[in-house]
Amino acid sequence: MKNSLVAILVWIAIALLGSAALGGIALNRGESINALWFVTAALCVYAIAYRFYATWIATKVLLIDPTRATPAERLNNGRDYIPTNRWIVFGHHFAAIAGPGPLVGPTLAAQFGYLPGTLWILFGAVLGGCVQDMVTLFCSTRRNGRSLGQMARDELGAIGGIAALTTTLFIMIILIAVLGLVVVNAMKHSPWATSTVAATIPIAMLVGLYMRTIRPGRVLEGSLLGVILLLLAVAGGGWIEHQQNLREFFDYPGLPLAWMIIAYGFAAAILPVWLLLAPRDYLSTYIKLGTIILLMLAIVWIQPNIKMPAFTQFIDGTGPIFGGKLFPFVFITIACGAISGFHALIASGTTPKLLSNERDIRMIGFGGMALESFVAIMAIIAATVLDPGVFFAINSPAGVVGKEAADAVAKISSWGFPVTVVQMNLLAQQMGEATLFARTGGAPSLAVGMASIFGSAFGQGMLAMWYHFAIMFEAIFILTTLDAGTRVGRFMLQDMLGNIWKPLGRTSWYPSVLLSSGIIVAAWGYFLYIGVIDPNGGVNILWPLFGISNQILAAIALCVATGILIKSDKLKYAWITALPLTWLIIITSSAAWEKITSTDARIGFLAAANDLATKLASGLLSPEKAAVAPQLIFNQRLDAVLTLFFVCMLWLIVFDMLRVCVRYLTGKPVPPLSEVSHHLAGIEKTWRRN
Amino acid sequence: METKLIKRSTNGLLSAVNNPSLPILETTRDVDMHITQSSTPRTNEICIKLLPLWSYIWHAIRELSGDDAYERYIAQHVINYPNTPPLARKDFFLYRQQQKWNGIQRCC
Repeated sequence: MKNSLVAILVWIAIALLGSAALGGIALNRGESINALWFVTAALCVYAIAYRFYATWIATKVLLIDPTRATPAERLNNGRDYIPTNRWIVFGHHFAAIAGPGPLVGPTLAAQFGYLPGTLWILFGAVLGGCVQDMVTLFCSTRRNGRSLGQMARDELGAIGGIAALTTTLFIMIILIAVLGLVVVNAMKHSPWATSTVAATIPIAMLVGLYMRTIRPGRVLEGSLLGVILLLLAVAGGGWIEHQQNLREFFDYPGLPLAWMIIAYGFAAAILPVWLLLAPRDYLSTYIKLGTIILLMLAIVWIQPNIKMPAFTQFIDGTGPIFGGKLFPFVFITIACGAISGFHALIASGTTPKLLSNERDIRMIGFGGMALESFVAIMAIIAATVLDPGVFFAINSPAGVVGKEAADAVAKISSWGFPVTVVQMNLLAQQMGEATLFARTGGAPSLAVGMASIFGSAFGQGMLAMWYHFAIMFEAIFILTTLDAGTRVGRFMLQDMLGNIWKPLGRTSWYPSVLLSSGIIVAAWGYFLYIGVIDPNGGVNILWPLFGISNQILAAIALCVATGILIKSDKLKYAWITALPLTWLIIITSSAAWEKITSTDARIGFLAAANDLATKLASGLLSPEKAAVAPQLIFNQRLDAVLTLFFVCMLWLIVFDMLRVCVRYLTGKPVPPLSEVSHHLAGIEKTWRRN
Repeated sequence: METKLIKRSTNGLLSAVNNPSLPILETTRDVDMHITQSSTPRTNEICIKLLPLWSYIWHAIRELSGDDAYERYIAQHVINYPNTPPLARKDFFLYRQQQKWNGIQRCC
C-alpha cells in the first residue's frame, strides 16, 4: 500500500516535470532555451510511455505470456537460436537499429526550427515507432523469428509478400545512395577527413585478419586493436593535412570521391565478410555506442543553450536545405528516430531468435526504439546549439545561396540569420578544414555541433580533433550500412533472378555474385552520381525519397501487424497500429503527391524537370550546367516514377490488408494465423512439476 | 571481495544463504541456462554465487561483443549433440559471420 502510494506520487511528479519541460520548449519564444529541457522532456515522455502505454499493450493487447517458450528456448542450437540475457539482446538490437539515420534526419529538419522536429521525434516514437518495433518483434517471436516479408506473405497473401520485398530492395538502394552522398559531402576537399576515412579500410582488414587467422574469434582483442588504430588514424589525418606534398593525395572534389565510394562498394560486396564487413562492423559498433554515451554526458555536463528559434520562416516551404512545407515534409525528413520501417526488418530477423522470454519484448522492442529516439533528440540538440547562421551556411547548397562565400553570407544574413565570412573562416580553421560552406547532408554540421559540445566539455584545444573524430564516427557506420546493404540487396536480387534462371540464384556462384553485385552497385551508384553533379546538392532530392520509402516500409509493417491483430480477434485494440498506420498513409501519400505534382521546381520532380528543360532550350544555363542538365532532367522524371511506384505499393498492401480483414470479420476464409502453438517455458514446467 | 551466496526462487525473490544444498551457479546467464536448458532434474530454487560487479560487467562485455560465443556454443553443443564433434573455433566464427551477414543486420 505504502509502496504503491509512493509509486503513484513518483509518476505524478514525472508527468508534471515532463509537461513543464514540454510546455517550456513549446511556448518559449525569443529567449534562448537550455538543452537540458529537451533531455528532461524526452526522458519523461519515454518513461511514461514505457511504464503505461507499453505495459498496457503488452498485457492487454498482445497478451504477452511469460509461460510460453520462445523460439530461442524451443529451438536452441547454440548458433542461430540462443536464449540470451535481455540486456545483451537489448544491446544487440539497439546496435542494429541505430545507424546514421537518426543523426542526419533531425539535423536536416532543424531548418524548420527546433520545435517541429522535437515534437515529431517524441510523439512519433512513442505512438508509432516504438509500437511498430514492439508489435513486429512480438509477431515474429510467435512465428519462430520469421521475417517481415514472410509474415506479410503468410498472413495477408502473396501480394503483401512481394510488396514488402520489392519496397525493401528499392529503399535499400535509395538509402545507400543518400548515405554515400552524406559521406562524399563530408570528405569533399578535406584531406584530413578523406585520409581518416580511407585509413578505416586497411584497419578493418587488419582486424579481420587478426580475428580470422592470428587469434581466431578473439573479438575483444581485435576490436581493441582496431579502435586504437582508428584513433591514431584521426590524429594521423591531422598530420597529413599539414604536409603539403601528402595532402594533395587526399584532396578531391565530390565526383572522384563518389567514384571511389562506388568502386569500394563493389569490392566490399564481393570480398569475404570476415575480411572487411564483419571487423568494421565491430569497430563501428563500439565507436557508435561510445560516442552516443559521450555526447549524452557532454550535453548534461555543459548544458548548452539552443540558438535556433522554435520555428523559422522556412515552414512555408522555401527552406534552403530541402524544399517543402512543414506538413508533410518534417514527417518525411525525420524517419529514423520517430518511426522507421527498417526496424521492422531487424525486429523480425535476429532479435526474436535470441529472446529468452516473451516478457522481454516490451523492453527490447519499445525500449530500444525509445533509446534510438533519444539519439535523434541529441542530434537535434547538436544541430540547434549552433548559431542558425552557421547552421545554414554549412548546410545550404551552393545552388541555392551562391558559390562565393560573400554571396552566401549575404543571402543567409538576409533571411535574418546573421553570419559573416570571418566567422565561417575562423570556424573552418578551428575545425581544421579549408571551408565549411555548402557541406549539405548533415554530417559536417552535426560534427561541428558535436565538436563544440565536446570542446566545451573536454577542452577547446582539440576542436579539430573532435570534428574529425565525429566525421570518422559517422563515416564508419555509414560505410558499414553501405556494404551490408549492398550485400543484402545482392542476395535479394539473386533470389529473384534465381526464379528466371536457376544458376543465378546460387549465392556462391561467382559469375552470379559479380552480376548481381554489379547491378545493385550500379543502381545506387547512379543516384549517388546524380546527387553529386546536382548543383542543388542532391540531398534535396534523395532524402525525401528515402524518407518516403522508409515510412512506406513502416506502413507495410503496420499493415501486417494490424492484419494479425484483427485476425487474432483483437479488433477493439487494432487502433494501436491502425492509428500510426493512418498517419503514415496520410503523410506519405501527401508528400508523394507534392513531390510529383507540385509546380514549385524546388519541390515537384516534374516541375523541376520541366523548369530545367525550358531553361536549357532557351539557353539560359551556363555551359557547365547545360552539360549535366539532360541527366538531371532524366533523373527528376525517374524520381517521379519511383515515388509513384512506392505509393502504389503502399496502397496495394493497404487494400490487401483491408480485404483480408473484411473477409475475416464477415466470416469468409482467410489465410490462417501462422502463430506457432503454445509450448510451456522450461521455468514454468519446473514450477508446475513441483 | 568476499563471495556471497544468494538463493533465487522461480518467482525472482532473492535471499541470502549460508549453507547451500542446491547447485551453485555463477552468472545470471548460467542461471538462465540452468532453468531453460539443462536436462538434469530442475529445481525451483537455485543458489547463485554473487560475483564482484566488475565480473558481471566483464561477462556482459564479452557476451555483447561475441567474444565468448564459442564457449557458449560448446556448452550448448555438449547438451544437444553429445556424440558429434563440435566445430573448431576458427570454423565456428567463419560460420557465424557468414550467417550473420546473409540477412539484414544494420539499419539506417
